[in-house]
Amino acid sequence: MKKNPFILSIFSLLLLTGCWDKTELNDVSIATGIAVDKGEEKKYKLTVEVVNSSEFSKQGAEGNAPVVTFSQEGNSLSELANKMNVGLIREVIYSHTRVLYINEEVAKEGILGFLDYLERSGHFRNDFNILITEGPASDYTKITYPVQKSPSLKVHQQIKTLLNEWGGDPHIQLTDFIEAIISKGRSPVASAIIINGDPKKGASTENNKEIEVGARVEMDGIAIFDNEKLVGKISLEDARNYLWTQSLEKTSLTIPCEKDETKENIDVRIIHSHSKLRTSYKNGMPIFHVDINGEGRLQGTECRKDITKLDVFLEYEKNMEEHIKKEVTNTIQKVQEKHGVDIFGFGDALNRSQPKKFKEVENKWNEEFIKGEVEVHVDMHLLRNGIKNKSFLSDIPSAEEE
Amino acid sequence: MSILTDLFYRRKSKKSGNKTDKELFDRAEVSKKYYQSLDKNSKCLEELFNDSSDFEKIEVKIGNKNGCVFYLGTMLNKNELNLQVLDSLRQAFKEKDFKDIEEVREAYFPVISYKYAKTLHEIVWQILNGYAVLIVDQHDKAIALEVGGGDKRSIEEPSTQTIIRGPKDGFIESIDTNIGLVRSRIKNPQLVFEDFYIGRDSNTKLSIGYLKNVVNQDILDELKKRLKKINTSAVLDTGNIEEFITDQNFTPFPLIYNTERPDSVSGNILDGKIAIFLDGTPFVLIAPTVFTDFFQSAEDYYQPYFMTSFIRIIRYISFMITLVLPSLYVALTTYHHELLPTQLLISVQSQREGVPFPAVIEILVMELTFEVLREAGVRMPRVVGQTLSIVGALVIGQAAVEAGLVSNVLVIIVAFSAIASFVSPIYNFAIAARLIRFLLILVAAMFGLYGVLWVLIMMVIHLVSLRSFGIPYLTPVAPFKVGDQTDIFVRFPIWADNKRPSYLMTKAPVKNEESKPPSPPKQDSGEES
Repeated sequence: MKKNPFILSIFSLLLLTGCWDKTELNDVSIATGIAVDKGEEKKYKLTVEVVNSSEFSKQGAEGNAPVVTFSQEGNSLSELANKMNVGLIREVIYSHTRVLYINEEVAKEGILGFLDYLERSGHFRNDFNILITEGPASDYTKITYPVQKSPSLKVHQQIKTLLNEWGGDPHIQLTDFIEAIISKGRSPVASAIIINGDPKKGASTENNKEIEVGARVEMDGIAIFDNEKLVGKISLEDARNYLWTQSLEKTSLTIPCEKDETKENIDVRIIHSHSKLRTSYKNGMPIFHVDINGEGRLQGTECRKDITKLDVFLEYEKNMEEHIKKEVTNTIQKVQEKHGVDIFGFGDALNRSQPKKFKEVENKWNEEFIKGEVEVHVDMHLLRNGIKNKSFLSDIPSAEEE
Repeated sequence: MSILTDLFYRRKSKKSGNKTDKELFDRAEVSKKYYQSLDKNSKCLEELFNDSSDFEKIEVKIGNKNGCVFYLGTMLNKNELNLQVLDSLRQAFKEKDFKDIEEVREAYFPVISYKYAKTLHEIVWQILNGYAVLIVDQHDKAIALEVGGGDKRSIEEPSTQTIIRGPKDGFIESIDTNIGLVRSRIKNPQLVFEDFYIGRDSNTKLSIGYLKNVVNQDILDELKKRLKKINTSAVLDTGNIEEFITDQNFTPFPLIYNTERPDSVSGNILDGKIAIFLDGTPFVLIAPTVFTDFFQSAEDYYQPYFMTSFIRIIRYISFMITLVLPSLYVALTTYHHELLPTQLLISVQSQREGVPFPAVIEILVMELTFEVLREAGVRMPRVVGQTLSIVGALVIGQAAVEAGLVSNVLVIIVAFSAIASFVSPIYNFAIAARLIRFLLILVAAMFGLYGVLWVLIMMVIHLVSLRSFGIPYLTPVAPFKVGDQTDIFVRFPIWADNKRPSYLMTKAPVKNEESKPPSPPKQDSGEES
């Protein structure tokens, strides 16, 4: 019989190899979050949160712990990641890690050491959130939540939703973080979180039975890094203002009706914004321009002004622009004064427009950043006014008139 | 029996194949004989038919001569025989002598269709075809009378390719009826049928039909050449023919289309293809065939073209689902956990908790179980059909999951890929997908997605290498023909699809140059409307 060498080679291929990296799904534990703390004896303490998947199914759930955590100390994350079976039953797969919690203390000393492992090994996807925790990071992997039983998946989704609905979280992922570290004209940031409540109470399924849960993980603004080291934090409001400079998608604002008066307010929902950073030099001093333009919707009003009139609308628009300008300028100045690192990327903007000029200053960019002047230009449009024209308020005779 | 051997078992002659009426008689020596004496003829015939119990003869007297009617009792309707032949001959003995057999026919059978048989062989042949043959002593030829009918099934709705809207008639086992069904749809003298006789032992009639002014002559010649080459003892279904004339036997993909639907055959003949009818089977072959034909149903042309286009895309997707869904499951759950969304992975994992088998064993067992169920469902007597569905649904659907032998999601996957395999309008096409599916599952278990992709690539290479009567199997997709895309993945409205498939290279590539979409009447010619 004439043998076809091609077919023969195929069959020999089948004999030679195969199955070497095969792992059945019920032989693995899915890690959804990892937390890095300072070790007592060794460099790091790594906590892994793995899913007890039968608690996530409709029929199989018995009210047991939805996740299991295990901590170990060691000198590198890589070593620890593969050593987890000291305490865990199955091979841990890290590809579904959604959140990386880093303790403040660790962050203050620098995190470059293990970022390379996360990026290089190929076991991690690079779309997990980097979160800086107040207090032990391992606690955060244990706080359950009734709707999403896995702590890390809860935080992951929470961050995403917060960013979409209000802003306030930069949604920093591994690649963004590393890019910011490499860049000389920009300093990295990461989200900061805190535990509101007693961590001990949170670490039990009993927590899920409470209406007001005993402990909750909450967003707490932005952690600011100077290169790899944590240097400080800014509040949630400031975080939102920071995001104004990074093309915020959606947020809500409360703006006084009259200029410089805070008695009565209008509520504005920003539905879209776009920002552009420019850096220029004047007399050897850098000037930072932030151009923000966007669109908003009137969501509510306390004033009695007739919004069917164009003038009122234009006035509101102007007030809104003023308000945003004030807020953003304040935040930038606060960062200049308190932290002194350019988290906004003005350096990058300079590098793009005047690379030669940036070359001169790139090594002392943060010093340049501190002395820079901030100019925010806001161009907002109030487009719609909800499903009502005139507010019923304008029909009620005001107290003064009576 | 030496005569019979010479007649039907021409072992000595190497040249063999199909016998047309004429050829059959020319070849055998004995066939040329015809005796003047009725007794001698009668004796010869009885020998030829080996005293078979259904070979009957009735002696009659015509004038002063003896005559005899020979027939196979099982091949014709005896009532008709009595009425049309024997009744007429009742008074024949009173007549005087007839000069020749023509006169006999004119006198007694003026309205029955007939043939003259000049040799014994011809007589045998006509008797076998259900004719009653009258031999009269001292005449130089016999007369074969078509009495009409053995039993045949009535025309019913086809059982395989059912449709909702459109003609409901289907072919039956009689080739003449089948050809009639097509002829009644194409009333055109250019529609030509050519007969062949296939099978040394069965002598089955085969007929090819085509439009003479349209068909590609090269393909037609090639088909005839292949049909003539068939050397076999018997053919019972067009499936046998298919295996003889196909371009490539070593492939799971059918290279010739088969259908039970006269409208489908008519449409294909009008497109310039050739239909192959075989006596004794309702399945008609259509050649040449391309891959995309198997995703088209006759109903496609009767339903709105939006719907048809949507359904066609569904069919292609279903084909892919049948092919790869089980293997994707194996690959993703054993190699590529990172490719699934986290929530889905957790959900799949929670269902696999406690399942004792690896995913590949799990899925192979379930797929095999399904195949067993399917086969049993086809073969089992209808009466016990209900038992099967209950046992099948309960045992496999529920009990296996509840016993923790297989996971829920796997049952969904097996069931879905099984249902998807029945979407193809042509049953035997789905077989190809079902077979390759098993290969894919095994490869997925060994190499993961890499293996799946590899087998799919090999499959495409194989598909590209296939030909159906010289036409690449993947035409008009590869090689890509822009003009033919009007009826492949989407169907254009019937007035826009006015060309025959270009790859057939027919004599008349355009069906109708002036076909136009319907439009409202023009203002100035308002009276007409």
